[in-house]
Amino acid sequence: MALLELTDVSKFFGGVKAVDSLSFSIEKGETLGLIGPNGAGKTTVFNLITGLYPLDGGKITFKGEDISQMKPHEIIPKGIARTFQNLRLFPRASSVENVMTACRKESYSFIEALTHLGRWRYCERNARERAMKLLELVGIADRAHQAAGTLPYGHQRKLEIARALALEPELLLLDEPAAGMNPEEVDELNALIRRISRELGITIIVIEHHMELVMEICPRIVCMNFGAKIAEGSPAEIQCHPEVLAAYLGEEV
Amino acid sequence: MGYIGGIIILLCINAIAVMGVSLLTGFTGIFTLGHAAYMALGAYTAGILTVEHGVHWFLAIMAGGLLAMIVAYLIGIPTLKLMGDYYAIASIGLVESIRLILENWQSVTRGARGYPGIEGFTTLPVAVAFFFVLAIIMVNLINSRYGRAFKACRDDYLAASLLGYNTARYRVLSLAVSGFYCGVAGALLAGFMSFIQPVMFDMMKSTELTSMVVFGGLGSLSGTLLASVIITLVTELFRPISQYRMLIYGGVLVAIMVLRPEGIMGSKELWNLRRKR
Amino acid sequence: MGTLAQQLINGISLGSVYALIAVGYSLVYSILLFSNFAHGGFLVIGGYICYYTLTALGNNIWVAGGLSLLGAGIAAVLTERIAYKPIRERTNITLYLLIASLGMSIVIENIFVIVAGGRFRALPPVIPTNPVHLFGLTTTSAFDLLSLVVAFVFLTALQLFIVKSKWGLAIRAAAFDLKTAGLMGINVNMLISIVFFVAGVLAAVGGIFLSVRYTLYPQLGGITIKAFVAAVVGGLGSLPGAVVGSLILGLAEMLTAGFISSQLRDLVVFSLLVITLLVKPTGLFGKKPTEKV
Repeated sequence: MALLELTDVSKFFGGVKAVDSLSFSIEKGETLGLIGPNGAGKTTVFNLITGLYPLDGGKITFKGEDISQMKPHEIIPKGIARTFQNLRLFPRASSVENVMTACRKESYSFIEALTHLGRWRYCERNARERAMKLLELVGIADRAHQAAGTLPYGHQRKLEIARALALEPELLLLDEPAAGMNPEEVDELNALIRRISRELGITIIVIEHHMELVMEICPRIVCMNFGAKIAEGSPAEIQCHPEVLAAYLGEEV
Repeated sequence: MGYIGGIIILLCINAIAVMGVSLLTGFTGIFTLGHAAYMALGAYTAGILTVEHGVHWFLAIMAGGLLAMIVAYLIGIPTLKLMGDYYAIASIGLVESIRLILENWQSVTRGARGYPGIEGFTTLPVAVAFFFVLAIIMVNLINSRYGRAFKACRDDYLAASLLGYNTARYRVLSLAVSGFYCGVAGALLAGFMSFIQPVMFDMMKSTELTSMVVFGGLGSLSGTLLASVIITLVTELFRPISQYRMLIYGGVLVAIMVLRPEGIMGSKELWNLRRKR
Repeated sequence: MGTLAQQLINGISLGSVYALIAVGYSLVYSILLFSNFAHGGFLVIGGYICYYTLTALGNNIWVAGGLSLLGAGIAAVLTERIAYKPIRERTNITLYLLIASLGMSIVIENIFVIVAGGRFRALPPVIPTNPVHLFGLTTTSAFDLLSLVVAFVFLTALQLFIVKSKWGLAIRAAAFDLKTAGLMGINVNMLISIVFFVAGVLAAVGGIFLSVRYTLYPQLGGITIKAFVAAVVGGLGSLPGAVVGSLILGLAEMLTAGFISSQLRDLVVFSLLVITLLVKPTGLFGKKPTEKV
C-alpha cells in the first residue's frame, strides 16, 4: 500500500485551476521529486496534503486513511511534516525553542505545567536534548540560543528542517529547501536529505528548482505544469521528456 | 492599614489582572479590551456571595475567578475563530454588554448605584499571597509546552497549525486562564474597596491594563509587572490631576508604539537578562 | 401602523448616519487593514467645531458645517501622519497601529474633556426638527428626513468619487493590494492622506447629526462602536456592506427601542455582532483574506 496517494486531486482559486486532476503516489522510504515551472501548483499540492485548503475534487489518502477533509492539526499528528517556501520560523524564539515547539511527543498535563511537578522536568529535559540533537544533525547547534530571526538565511532553512524532523514524521514535505543557498550549502543539504531518508527512514517529497539536487537525490520525479502532471519517471526519463523541456524552456516556434 | 499598605494591595491586584492580560495579548497575541468585563464578573460574584450568602471570602474569590473563566471560555469558543481586529471589536462589545447587564439587572447587582457593604477581606497578607502564588503559576505556565504553544499561535498561527497545534483550542485556553486571573483580581478589588460599581469596570479600566502590557513589553512578564508597578504608582502620585490621567495614558500608548513598540523589556525577561547567550 | 412606520423611518435615518461613520471606517480598513479606533475622535471633532462655530459666528449651518468637515478631515490626516505613518513605515504588524489608534482615540476624547468640559451641550437649533407629515400615513421629524437625505447625498458623492475619479481608482487598487498599487506609481502616502481626509469628513457629518440627536459631549465618539459593529455585520472592508450593516443596525435599534425597551437597544446591537460573528464572521459582503503560504 502506498504511504501517500493522491487521486484526481483538484483545487480552484476563483477561475484559476491551481491543481488539475493530479494523481500520484509515493511508497514508504522513497524520495520523490516534485518539479515544474513557477506557478505550476507544487506548493498548492503540499497545502492540500497538509489540509490547509479543502479539496475541490479528488481524494488524498495517507497510510490508507482518507485525509481529504481533515484540518492541519488533525493531519500532522498522523505523521506528516513540512517546511515552507518562504520560511515560517518563530523569529523571536531561539533555534532550540523553535525546535522544542515541535517536540510534541514529550507531553504532560496542564496541571503539571502550572506546577512544574510530575513529568514536567523529565519531559522538558528530554525535549531539549532531542532538539539539540536535531540541531546537531542539521549542523547549526552552535547557534542554538540565538533568536531565529537573526540567523543567516542558510541556517534558517536548516532550522526549519530540524523543526519539521522534531515532529518525528513518516512523511516529510520539503518546499524548496535549497532556495537561496550557495553551492556548499546545497551539497550539505544533499547529504542531509540522504541521511534523513536512509538513517531515519523518512519518506520525502521535495519541491525544488535546483535541478542537480533533484536529479541526484530523487530516484523518481513528478513534473507539473499549470496544475497538472505532465511527466513522471526517473531523472533520465524526465530530462529528455519533451513536455518537461517545453514547460521549462518554452516551445520551439 | 496605612496608606502604603493600601498601595501595595492595589499593586498586587493590578499585577494579577495585568498578568492575565499579558498572557492573552503579550504571549498569545490576542489583542483584547474585554478584561474589565471579567474583573467585573469576579468582583460581583465575590461581593454577592460574601454579602448575601455568607460564603467564606476565599471560596468567594475562587468562585469569582471560576465564573470569569467559564464565561471567558464560553465566549471564546465562537469568537476566537476571529483574528485581529474582528476580535478586538467583539471584546469591546463584550465589556459594554456586561456593563449594561450589570447596570440593568438591578435585582441582583443593585444597578448603577453600586453594590456596597462588602467585607474587607483583601488584607495585605491576602493580596500578597494571592499575587505570589498566581505569579509563580503564570511563570510556570509560560515556561512549559503551553507557553511555547501560545507563543507559536502569536508569532505564526499558520505555522503552529502545521506543527499539529489546534490553535483555536490554545487561544481559548489562554483566554480562559486570562479570565480567571482577571476574575480573581476583580474579586480582590471588591474585598478591598468594599463597594463596587459597574462604572469601575469600563473601557478605561481595560485600556489601563492594556497600556501596562504594551508599556512593559508584549511578550515579557517581568516587563508587564514592572510597568504595572510604575503606572499604578504614577497614577497614585498624580491623583490630584487625574483628569489628565487618561490623556497621558493615551499619549503614552501612541508614543510607545511610534518610538519603541517593544516597550520596556521587549520580549526579554528581567530574570533572563544576565544569562550568557 | 403609524408607530411602526415612524420607527422604520427613525431606524433608517439613524442607520444612514451610522452609515456615514461606518463607511469612513471601512474605507480606512480596506486600505490599511486595521481598525482605526480613533475614528470616533473625528466625529467628536466635527461636532465641537460645528458647535463652537455656531455659537461664535452666528447660526449659519453652511459655514459651521463646512468648517467642521474641513477641520475633522484635517485632524484625520494629522492623526495619520503623527501616529500611524511612522509605525506603518517601520513594520507591518497591524497590532501596533491598533494600539496607537486606541491611544489617539483616548487623547482626542480627553482633549475635549479638558478643553470643553464634560457637560452635555445642545447644538443651537439650526437643523430643523419640526414634525413633518408624510403622505398622511405617519408623522416624522424633519430632522430624520434631513439626516437621511444628507447621508444619501454624501454617500452618493463618495460612490461617484470612488468609481469615476482617478484617485478613486487608485483607492480601489490600493484596497486590493497596497504594496502593488505603490509599485504601480501611486503615491501611497498621498493616497492614505486622502482616504483619511474623506473618512474624517464623513465622520464629521455623522457627528453633527448625532450631536443634534443626542447632544454633544466628549464621549460621543463612543457611539462609533456601533458603527464598527455595523461595518463588521456588513463585512469589514466592504463599503456597500458598511451601508447595509448600518441600516440593519439602525432599524434593529429603533424597533427595539420602540417596541420592546429602550434599555435593551444597545444589547440588541451587540447581539447582532455576536450573531454575525457566529454565523458568518466575514459579514454580509466581506471577503475572507487568504494568506499566501
